[in-house]
Amino acid sequence: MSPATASSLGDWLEKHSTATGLLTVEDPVDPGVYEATAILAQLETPSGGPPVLFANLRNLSGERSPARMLFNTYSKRRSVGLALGVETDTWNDLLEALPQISANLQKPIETADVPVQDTVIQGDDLDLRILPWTRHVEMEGGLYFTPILAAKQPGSDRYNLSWNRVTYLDPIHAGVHISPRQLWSFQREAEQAGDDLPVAMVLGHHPAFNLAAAALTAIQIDEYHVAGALMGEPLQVAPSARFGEDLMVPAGAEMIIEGRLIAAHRVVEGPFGEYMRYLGPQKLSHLFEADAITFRPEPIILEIFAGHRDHLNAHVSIHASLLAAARTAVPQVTRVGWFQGGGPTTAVVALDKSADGQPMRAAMAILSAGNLIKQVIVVDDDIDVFDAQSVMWAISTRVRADEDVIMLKGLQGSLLDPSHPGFGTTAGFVIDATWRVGQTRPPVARVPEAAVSQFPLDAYTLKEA
Amino acid sequence: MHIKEVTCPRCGKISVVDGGLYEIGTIRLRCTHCGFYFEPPDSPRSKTVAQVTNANVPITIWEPEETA
Ligand SMILES: Cc1cc2nc3c(=O)[nH]c(=O)nc-3n(C[C@H](O)[C@H](O)[C@H](O)COP(=O)(O)O)c2cc1C
Ligand SMILES: [Zn+2]
Repeated sequence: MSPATASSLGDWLEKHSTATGLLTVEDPVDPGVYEATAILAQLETPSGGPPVLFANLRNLSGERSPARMLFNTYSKRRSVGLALGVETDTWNDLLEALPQISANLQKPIETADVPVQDTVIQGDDLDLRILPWTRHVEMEGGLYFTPILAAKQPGSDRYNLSWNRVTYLDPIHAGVHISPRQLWSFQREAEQAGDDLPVAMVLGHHPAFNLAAAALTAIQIDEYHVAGALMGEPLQVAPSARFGEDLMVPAGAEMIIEGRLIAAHRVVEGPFGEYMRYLGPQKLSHLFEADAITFRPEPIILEIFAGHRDHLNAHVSIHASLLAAARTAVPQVTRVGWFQGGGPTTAVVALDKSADGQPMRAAMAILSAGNLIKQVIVVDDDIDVFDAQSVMWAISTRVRADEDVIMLKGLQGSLLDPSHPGFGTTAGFVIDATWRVGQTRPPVARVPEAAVSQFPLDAYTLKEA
Repeated sequence: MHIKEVTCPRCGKISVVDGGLYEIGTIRLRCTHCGFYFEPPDSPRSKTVAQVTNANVPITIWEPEETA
């Protein structure tokens, strides 16, 4: 097998089909009328759903699409682990493993073996309708994909990867929602100079590639190097069909739409089922013009089941970055909970506190790691940050609101937060639900363990009513 | 983002749009149900495109061709 295909999505799926519980649907399915997500909704459980590969999909021209499509790659913790080469069912194991995995940055390697350019469609033949565009949830404003956008910073050789929702507009145009982060700043730089920004929309690669895109990385770090770290081997890259060496693309991807984010233009786009579990509204988003579609034989599009567990869990790299940021500031931090202990704008930090200023310091580190978190609850290490009931117990019994609830004003927020007015500011809070250092803690009400061992249940007859 | 509900003059159904986009008023919204493009009739017209997009160049709004 050639190195460029060593970590393809297809190989990953085949290798882990049993462990992930992969299901394949061979029946014809039209994802544009909610048919794919209707099937996924019926397979969803509180702990997520199995990965599902749709093998026979209708495209926008009403024909069979050349691409198959995979959903729920990240829905179960186990398959998020397998994407990263970590065998675990425990979310916290992944958070602990990710910083080490991401630290092993690998420089991409240029290759002449480019499976993703097996078929190249350009010019008059270019038509985005050959793809199986998808409707995920009720009231979605159009047909969508959730690809990874690879872009090079204007005037540098540094690549950024980001995960973006993309909607079909016409045979060569699409709308892209871009939050004010790194891709946004690249586009703004190009736009100010009057230039379009070349981008490659990667529709499917090894699932660790996508997780690299969602990582909160320092701006000076090339995210192609992070992709290599998470994939466990250097990313294989090759010149794009349209931009040549000016835009190097991942050679082992399944399918790529090459094109440009058009300067000085915006388009109404949305709503879309977001990870906040609401629909993000119709808004002004960026305009993309396609120049080429390239794909490998029988490509598999990696698509997210939007607004569901697959979507939340795909943020694992961001979650891990929050833990790393908190622990860098305050080494006593033991755990950081996010989705499991509140909404995606709220984080819960546990620490083994040794000084009273630590909770606030740890909270500030998390608040500064990105624009996603506005509210932080800090608890002692005996509280399970992944259990909302346990966190509420600490808030109910360890907080004096006049001293322990700190309001924060003038914060930048997340565009997807429905309580927040777009580019204005929002507010946040820190709740310090830890015991004071030196404070005498009340004993927790429980039967002595020794008594439980001394009087085992099976020594008694328990009569049912 | 704050959400605003708007009623489509063609099909009468409700779409949810960004409050900022709605407050511009001169940009046509797209009905989520029938695809019709229309200006919100009761917008306060109190915001500019620059404020809502945070762009620092003049912005043209693009629409697919068959929307007139
Ligand atoms: C499944 C998924 C979908 C996402 N969709 C978007 C999106 O549509 N727009 C966006 O700006 N960020 C989106 N994100 C978040 C970004 O990928 C993430 O914040 C990333 O770090 C931003 O990249 P950047 O700072 O490198 O530009 C998504 C994340 C995930 C996991
Ligand atoms: Zn309508």
